[in-house]
Amino acid sequence: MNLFENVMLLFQDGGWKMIVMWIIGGLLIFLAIKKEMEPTLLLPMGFGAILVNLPESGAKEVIDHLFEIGINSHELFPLILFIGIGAMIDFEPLLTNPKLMIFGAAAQFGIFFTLSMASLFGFETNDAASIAIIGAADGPTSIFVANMLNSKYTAAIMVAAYSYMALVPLVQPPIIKLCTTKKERRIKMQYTGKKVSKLTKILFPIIVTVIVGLVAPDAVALIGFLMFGNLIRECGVLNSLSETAQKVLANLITIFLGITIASKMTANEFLRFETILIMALGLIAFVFDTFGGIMIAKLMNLFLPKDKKINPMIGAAGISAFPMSARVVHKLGLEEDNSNFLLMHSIGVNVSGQIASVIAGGLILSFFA
Amino acid sequence: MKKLLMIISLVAVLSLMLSLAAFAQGNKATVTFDSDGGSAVDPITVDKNSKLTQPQAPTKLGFDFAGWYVLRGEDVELQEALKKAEKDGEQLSEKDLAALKAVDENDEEWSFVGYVVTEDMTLVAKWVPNDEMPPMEFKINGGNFLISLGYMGKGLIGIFVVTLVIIGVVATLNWHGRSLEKRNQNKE
Repeated sequence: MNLFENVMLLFQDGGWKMIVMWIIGGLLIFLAIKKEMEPTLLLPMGFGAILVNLPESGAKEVIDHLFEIGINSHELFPLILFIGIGAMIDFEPLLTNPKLMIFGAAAQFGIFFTLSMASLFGFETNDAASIAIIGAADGPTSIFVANMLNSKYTAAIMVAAYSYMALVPLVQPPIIKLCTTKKERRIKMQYTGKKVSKLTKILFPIIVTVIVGLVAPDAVALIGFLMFGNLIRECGVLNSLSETAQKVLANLITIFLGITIASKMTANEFLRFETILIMALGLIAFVFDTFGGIMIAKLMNLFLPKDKKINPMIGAAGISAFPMSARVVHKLGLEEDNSNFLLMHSIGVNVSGQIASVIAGGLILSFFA
Repeated sequence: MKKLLMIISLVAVLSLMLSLAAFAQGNKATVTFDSDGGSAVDPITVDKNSKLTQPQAPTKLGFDFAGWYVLRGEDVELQEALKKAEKDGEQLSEKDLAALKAVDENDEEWSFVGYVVTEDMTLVAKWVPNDEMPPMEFKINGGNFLISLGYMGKGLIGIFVVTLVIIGVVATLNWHGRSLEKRNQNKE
């Protein structure tokens, strides 16, 4: 066999596309290392994109197999990762002030809005719904839904979801500033810091699983694994398991998740006009999520007494992207008034966004799966 | 007499020509190509017992051409899959169909080097799915947009209802916790 046969393949029909994919892979690695944008996912995806786009790549079969067992059959990787995420989340700020969940729900507006926009642009319903779920701002949920709906554009959806999550500190502030007045951004909110009973913390994951399971049975795996992780954390007798789920388990799955998604990043599937369109629709989803959260806060303010007004910026933290969007809101609060601490409120809204995004994913699945 | 001879010889010449033409025609065979959804391939007429020149391979987006076949088999696996799909109320995708057709072992691939044409026949193209995707039909689809708006309404109502239920549950749990705490304090 000619030693340079493979090299020559690069100069034949479509060979240039592979080189473009190497550049995209390199760009993802650059963003991960230099800009520290979601490095845990973007770096493996970037490397994987190079790996599967070598002519006659022998790695493609292995990665395809990983995709088959880890994602395609029962969405195993995203679900296991959710145990780890559940173990990482402290729902206390939300439990002390449960009405914060309203913002989490409102900040899923972008998902449904993007569903309409993607349909308008001619995507088939299963693809439109998968693209819309980029607005869940939550990687595992996006992977879960896109795969369950058998979308052709899984890779583009993943890249868009993770890139925008990393770009939350850039995407959200201009939208927040556009939707709020200086006066609104200066509103201070009292944090009562009430204690929540251990019983509440233990019952919460169980009850939420049952409620969501009854309403959106297709999403019960997602919410169930998330809440299972949280129950391990809160039960108080499984500390070492909780620690393993948060660190070892989550890290282990993350290592495989990125490179596995790369199996869908072959030049033929990725270098398409639709990829650009999906990126644009993903941005729309993030923008309208932020918009939805802020607007519901402004609406509630109309009915609240003067001393109990809500700083509408915390609504923006309702997009899942945990904990970046909570930090963004806190930072913007401090920018306007350096004694305005919004972190506990925005964290509460942020974790409620995590739950709401899974519910939204479940509803989308119940409509289209 | 002369006239009669002329007529007889004319008829004889004509029938000779006709039988020659019929003989020549009988010595030819036409091969038609069924590209099964791929680009069209023109039929070829050849002398009987001669080899066929391979026509240019057809193309089909999303598939690699896998050769020309003489269909002989019953496509057992295909029939079974079709029956099962019908039973489950599903539809086999174009790629699944092609993959099933491609694996039928009873069919025989036509060898343009070894085989000769003996009679009129049809060769059918087989295809193996590849990972190329057909381009999306890009159009502004107002109908779909309106349907999605309906889903948007349903989705938002659904998510708010579930959220309110969860808020209610948590508020009840909190209230229960506080009343327990108060009772304990009173006891002390």
